[in-house]
Amino acid sequence: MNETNLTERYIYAVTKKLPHRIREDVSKELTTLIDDMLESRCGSVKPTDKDVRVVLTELGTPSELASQYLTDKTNYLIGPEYYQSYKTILLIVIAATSFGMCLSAFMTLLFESKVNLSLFYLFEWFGNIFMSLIMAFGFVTLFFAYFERKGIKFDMDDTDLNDLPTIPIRQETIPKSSVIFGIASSIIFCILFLLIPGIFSFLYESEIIPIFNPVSIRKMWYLFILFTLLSLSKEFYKLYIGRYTRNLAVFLTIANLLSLIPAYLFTHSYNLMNQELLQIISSIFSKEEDRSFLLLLINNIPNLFFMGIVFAILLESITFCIKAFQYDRS
Amino acid sequence: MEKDDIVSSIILELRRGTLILSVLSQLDHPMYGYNLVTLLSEKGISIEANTLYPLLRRLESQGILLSKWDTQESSKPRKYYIRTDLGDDIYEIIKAQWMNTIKTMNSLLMKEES
Repeated sequence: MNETNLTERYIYAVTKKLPHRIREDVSKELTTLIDDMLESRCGSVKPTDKDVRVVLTELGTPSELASQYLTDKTNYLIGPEYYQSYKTILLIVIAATSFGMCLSAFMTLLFESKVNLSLFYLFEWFGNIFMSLIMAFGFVTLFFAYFERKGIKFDMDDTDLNDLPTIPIRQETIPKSSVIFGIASSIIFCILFLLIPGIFSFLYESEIIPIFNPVSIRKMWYLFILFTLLSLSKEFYKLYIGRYTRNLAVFLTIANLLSLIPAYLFTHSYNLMNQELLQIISSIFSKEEDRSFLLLLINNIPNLFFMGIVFAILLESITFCIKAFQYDRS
Repeated sequence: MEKDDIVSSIILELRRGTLILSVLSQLDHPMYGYNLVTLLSEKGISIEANTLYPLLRRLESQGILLSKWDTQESSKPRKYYIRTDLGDDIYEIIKAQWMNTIKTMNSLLMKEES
């Protein structure tokens, strides 16, 4: 191989890993350096291919040399500062997703009588688990990569000794188990609702009648994702702060209020209730007043559902705020 | 880890701390990278080109060194580095620190020997 060619290829391999603005400069610099090194090795004799190889080996592999030029920490996707947290969160999310997927596969078997346990079904199930694990991995990685790039600090500011947090007494800390339960249940809830929209059903003459219209639920997938992301952000923030603080209480309340938007849009969407259910009820009850009362009740299920969510959210926000104002001594 | 490995990693660590000072000490007049490698090696300080070149660039980005390409037609294009005023100040401070360290370390190590 031609020695100039090899040197050029080496330099190209180094510089293509560097930022554009220094590429040309480094390239020129390395050309002269390699030339100098060959000259000091061979004197006035023309360097052989072997000499070139020795000199280039001395400089290290192109990626090693490039990494010497790149000492900026912007070259990490997820740097050491975040890596530990990244691993923990990834583990929780992956575990919750796997569990949710297994649960949903199990539920499908229970609810859908027509499922045949063929090899195809098994493959499909593995495929689904695999895809959702990749998605979970992708989401967590994306979040952390964003934190890394923006340099968002998780930990409380500890540059000033006076700002160091007091050692929490036991009641002041948010139990990790409750947060992990929160993360896992949000993910499982989302998976179950999206994959088996007929999970809220009842049995009528050995037939399973879903309360909600599965097609409408599937159509509004983004509302579930939005709702889940909001509750996950809440739980992750709790996990990082680890104690009841006023900031956290404010964040939690805002996230809770925001999550009312997807909840409202979902429960007040057109055609949410399963029409089949309404027909069945009409056919069962012959007495007009019974029928109208039940239909009224059924038609109000979305409202009740929404009220339930509002109640849960208010309860969580209020108890959290009370604890935060009680324990946050800063 | 073998004893030799431990020793060489500690020595490497010690040497790494002295590199910047060694480089700065020579740059009161313009020099190019490879020139500096050979000069330092003649004086008993071995520094690899693949460490020195990125280091020079880093010092330049910190404003300690100034570089200028010499592109005369008679010779190869070379990038010359020299200390800036800031570099001079920093060099003097680190040099004083080094002298101080030597004194302290000597008294620490000599006491141990006697």
